[in-house]
Amino acid sequence: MYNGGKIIIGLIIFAFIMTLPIWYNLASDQDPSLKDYVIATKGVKGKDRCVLPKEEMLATHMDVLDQWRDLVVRDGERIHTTPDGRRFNRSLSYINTEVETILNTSYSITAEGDTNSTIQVKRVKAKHLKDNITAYSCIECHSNKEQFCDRCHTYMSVDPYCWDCHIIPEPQLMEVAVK
Amino acid sequence: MNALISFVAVIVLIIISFVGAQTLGLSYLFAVIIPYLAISIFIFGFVYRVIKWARAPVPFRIPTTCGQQKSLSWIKNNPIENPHNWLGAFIRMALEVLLFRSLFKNTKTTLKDGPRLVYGMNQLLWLGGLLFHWSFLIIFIRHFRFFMEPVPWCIKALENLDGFLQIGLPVVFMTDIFIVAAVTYLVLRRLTDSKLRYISLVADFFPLFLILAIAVTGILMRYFTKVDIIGVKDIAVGIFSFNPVVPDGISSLFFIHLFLVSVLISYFPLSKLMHMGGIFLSPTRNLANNNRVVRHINPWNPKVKMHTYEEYEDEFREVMREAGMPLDKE
Amino acid sequence: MSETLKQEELVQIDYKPPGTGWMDTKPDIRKGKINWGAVQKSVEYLDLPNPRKWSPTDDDWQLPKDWKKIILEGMRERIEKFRTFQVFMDICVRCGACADKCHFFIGSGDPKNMPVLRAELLRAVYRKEFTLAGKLMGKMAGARDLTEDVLKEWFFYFFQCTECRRCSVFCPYGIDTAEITMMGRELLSLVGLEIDWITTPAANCFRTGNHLGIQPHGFQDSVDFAVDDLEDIIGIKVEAPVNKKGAEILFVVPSADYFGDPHYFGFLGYLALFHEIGLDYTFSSYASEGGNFGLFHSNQMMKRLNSKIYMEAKRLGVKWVLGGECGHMWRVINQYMDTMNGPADFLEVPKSPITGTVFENARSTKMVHITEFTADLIKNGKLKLDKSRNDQWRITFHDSCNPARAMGILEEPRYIINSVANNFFEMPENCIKEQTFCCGGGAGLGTEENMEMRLRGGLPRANAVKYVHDKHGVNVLTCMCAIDKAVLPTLIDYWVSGVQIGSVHELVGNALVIKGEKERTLDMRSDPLPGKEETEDV
Repeated sequence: MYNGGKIIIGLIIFAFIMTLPIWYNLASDQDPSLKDYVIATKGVKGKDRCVLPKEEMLATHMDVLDQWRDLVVRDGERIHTTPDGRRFNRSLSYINTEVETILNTSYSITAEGDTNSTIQVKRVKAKHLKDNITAYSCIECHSNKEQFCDRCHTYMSVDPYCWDCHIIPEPQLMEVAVK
Repeated sequence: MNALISFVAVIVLIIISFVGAQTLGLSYLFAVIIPYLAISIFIFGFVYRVIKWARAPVPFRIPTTCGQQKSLSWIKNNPIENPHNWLGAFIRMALEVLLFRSLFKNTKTTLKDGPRLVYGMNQLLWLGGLLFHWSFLIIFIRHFRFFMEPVPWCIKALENLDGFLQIGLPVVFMTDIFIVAAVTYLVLRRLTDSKLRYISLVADFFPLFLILAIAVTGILMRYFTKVDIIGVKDIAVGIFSFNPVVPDGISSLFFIHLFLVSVLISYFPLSKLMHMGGIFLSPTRNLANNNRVVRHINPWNPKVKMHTYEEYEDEFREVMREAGMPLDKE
Repeated sequence: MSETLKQEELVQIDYKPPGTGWMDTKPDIRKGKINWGAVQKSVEYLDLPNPRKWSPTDDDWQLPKDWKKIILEGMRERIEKFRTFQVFMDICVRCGACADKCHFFIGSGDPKNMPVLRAELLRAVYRKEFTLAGKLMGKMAGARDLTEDVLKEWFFYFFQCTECRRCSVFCPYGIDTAEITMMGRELLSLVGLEIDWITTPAANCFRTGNHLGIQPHGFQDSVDFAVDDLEDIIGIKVEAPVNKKGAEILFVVPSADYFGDPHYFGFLGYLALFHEIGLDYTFSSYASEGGNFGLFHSNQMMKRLNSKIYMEAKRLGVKWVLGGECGHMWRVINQYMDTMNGPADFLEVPKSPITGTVFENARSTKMVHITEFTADLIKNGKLKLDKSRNDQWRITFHDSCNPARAMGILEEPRYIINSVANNFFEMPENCIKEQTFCCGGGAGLGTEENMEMRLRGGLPRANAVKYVHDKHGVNVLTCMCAIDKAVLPTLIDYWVSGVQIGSVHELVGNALVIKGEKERTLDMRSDPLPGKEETEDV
């Protein structure tokens, strides 16, 4: 072989890059597979099904969320009704403790006009929601973001920008909300 | 005709993988056995081909010089287009491999009335080629997110860069658009330019159609009909950690994609696609033009019959003497 | 023959390929597009295979019985010996960037003159015989059987390439068609398919030391004539030693320099220059050829012819070698000589005895190009130059293929021309330096019977000359290549009129003010100098 040294080095680099995943997976201690993944969801009574069947949600949840965001933010259409008549509040992280709080607070109607009307609207809305809604938000059932969202997203190197704006709820708050 | 044959060949490959994985349920074959085979053929075939080249010597140092040589100290030489040492040759090669410098020089010759020959700029092929190759490389590297667990930060960074326009959901990768556009251009130019149509073989269209089909199936999976990418990554990681698995319920689109990729990389070492390795071994580009400074050795420098001065003088001694020319033997 | 070809007809070039695929289109083998086969005597003299009387226009080329085996064996051998051959066979993607870079394609429109198809002629057979894909898939993989017709096609197209390497500048992989043509020609030679304009000069050179077959006394005569002619011009009888032992420098020129016109005027320039600087040099009658038609034949022939330069340098005991203006000669010296016939460890690193400049760039080969040498003299102010003596000329410069693309000697001649003359004009940039166009007659193709192809192939060069002729009134095309000087007059006369061909050192000779010279009234051509027309005796 002529110029063997350089060529062999080149070939070793080539073969190394092409087989990099093998070495990398060998070197990383973690169980490389997520094949035993479960969808980490709180078993809440009456809330055993999501808005779509599991397989569809798995494939299209990002589209659902994307559509919902536009419907809520642009058109104010908050309620999603499934074909079997269940109603969902289109929200990623809305927590129903807020509803309770609003309902249980008494407000003086005379104080400040603006604020009052806002509060009244909120109360009406809240009551309406409480009465008819299966779930107020995704995280109400899928309460463990780390297990439910991040595990797959990290596995697939998906970096959704949901949490750029939404606040990740505190676990304690989540507990209260679920009760 | 050659284009049609190639096109049909790719369609047949798609049908094979669809029928095989979907109807016959040979998902283990398509998700595990064929990929293993293909990867082996690719790597060993590639290495074999390069070693075969390496076994042939470079008897002469024949760089194509495209600039002023290094000669007198006060004449400005061109150290890259006419390298005089390894560094210049290295930079020249790097520019060639990374930026297709020679192709950038491309011109288009037109014969006008008069006759008048005009040489116009013609960088379209350069642009198309560069977009295609770079997109292909970036897409290839991006796919490492399926092969590696945990996904390294650099792969993520590359993805963010590729999708930095943040259009759509999932975010559109620019390279996805570029590669389809570039391959389409490369096919169309072969079909529309009569000279290129004339020189194009089946082997020229086939990889283009194959890559186009791979890109389209990939794009379909990402943006349109979704697949269970967790399952897909399980397969990929399984392969690369020698622990193959085939989860249920993976769309046949994925099997088509994977099969076409397997065909592409198995075909690679058998075909002109080896230009990927060959460009590094091209003696007109990878050598410095320093022949007059450093003697280049030809390992098989042949013994040839020479005509010595003695033989010459023996033949012409008389006439040389008459002409008063000096002689070695009187 | 050029008179019978009409310009208007020649420029009706159809770049659209024929309807039939290239494997099914036969070449148009006829006078005008081919070169005659080598005469038996020359083939025999060089001990080459299959000497016989034959012509490419015959139906039967009298190949040896086992020609196919010989060719395939030859291919196998070259695949093993040349990485270039293997890599260039394997990696072409047929992108077409080279297509309209070839002067023969531009001038003829014949698709097989696209460098890519010229190479495919070999590649198709290579695939069939040496690759798995070709063996299995046949024509689908672009493979083709080696038949007698294929061989004839090789002969036709490998002797329609001037090995100018312009295509290799544009190839993204640096595939060099010159290299492919050289392989093709070596293979053809194995079965006796040689052209006379290569083999006979090679045989001459092997025997007499120069392509023209000039014997030693003839060489001495030529030099003496030149000395006399120069005396008529400058009034001084200069020394021009031949075969002088112990001289400092051996000076080697292409043989046309002392025998051809317009080369000769440059030769006078050399003599004048060497006299003026008092150079201790010698010519050699044994190494009386710098050019090397072996380059156009095979690497072995190249080595056989080239060996004389070093052998003679050793015999004469010179310190280093100086080379004259020639194109392919310098490809051989720059890229092959030291490898083939070196190391020249009996010589010294060249050092100009006048300026003291050490030519580091020729440290190993020990051979310096005359324009490097002269440019150094001028830069160091060793020459007294009267530019006005070149005012009769409006000058352009033609970069010859090999000095440009196999060496890169671009600025030295330009510096000299600008130092010795006032009116210099460049041709358009796509036609000069590394993108220069061939004269159409290089690599052994400058024959009468090949005239149509020469004129076609020379069109791009001539067209650029016409451009500067029309725009700037250019009336001389200078170059430093013996083949250029031999074939360009016909070419330029045909496509452009009123442009002469000249040498760089012809201009040097004109401008050089020589100590003790008589009042100069004539230039190197013995034509009156500007402003001296009246004083000429008629």
